[in-house]
Amino acid sequence: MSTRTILDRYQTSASYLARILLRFSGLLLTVYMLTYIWELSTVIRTSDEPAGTAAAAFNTAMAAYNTTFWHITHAVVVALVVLHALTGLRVLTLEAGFGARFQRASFWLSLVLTVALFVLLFIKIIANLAA
Amino acid sequence: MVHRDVISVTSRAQKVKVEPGAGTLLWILQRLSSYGLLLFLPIHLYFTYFTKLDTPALTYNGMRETFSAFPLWYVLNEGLLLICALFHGLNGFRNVIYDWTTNSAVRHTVNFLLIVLGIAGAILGFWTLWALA
Repeated sequence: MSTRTILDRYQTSASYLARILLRFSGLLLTVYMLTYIWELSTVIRTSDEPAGTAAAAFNTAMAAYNTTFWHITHAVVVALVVLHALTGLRVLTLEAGFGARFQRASFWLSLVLTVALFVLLFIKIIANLAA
Repeated sequence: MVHRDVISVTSRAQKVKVEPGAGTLLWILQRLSSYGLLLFLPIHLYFTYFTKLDTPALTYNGMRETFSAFPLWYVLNEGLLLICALFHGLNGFRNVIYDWTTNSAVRHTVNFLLIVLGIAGAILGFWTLWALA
């Protein structure tokens, strides 16, 4: 089923898209969080250094993430956090009985702010790369 | 099944079938953990991401500086963030599964797996926090 067909089935396509994006970003962030906890704990667990002084292991592990691919991935994760937070705040205010009249506008605003943040971070990554 | 008056989603009160004790507490906790995330996650991202954008890689000393600059407060932030994020993420996944299927075997299996995952995540997370902080 094409995206157009899915959207056509709903009169309020913005609210449907908002719900899908809220869930999709939530699932991705949950997977990221669990991987993050696992990775960080593995770095500490497999270190030869005594507990509380795993400096070398930590630095080696973090240096491996110092690539353009991971910088962009982290920017995507931060953008997903912002998208999930803004669309989540939208749900909280709608449930409380506010902003139903602006529900389309508030969704598009959330999306624009998220994309704007990602573009800024992307420019920053490219600028750091060039420097 | 218990019949209750539900007025929040419809214009007129009507009898709706509700499973006894169906997720009201989890719904409230999902909201409470979202308030927690709105508070703790920006602080976490500020110190681990936004202030480190110009440094080539996050270092052990760089990270330790934050813990020593705000003794107790930053550990408290990270600990509460871990609790809120784990609960919010795993319960959110549960919500997706509950919307997807009403099969009680699938639901119970998922519940069990998510509880195990949550406990494992909390143990690993707090152990890592203790080792780093």
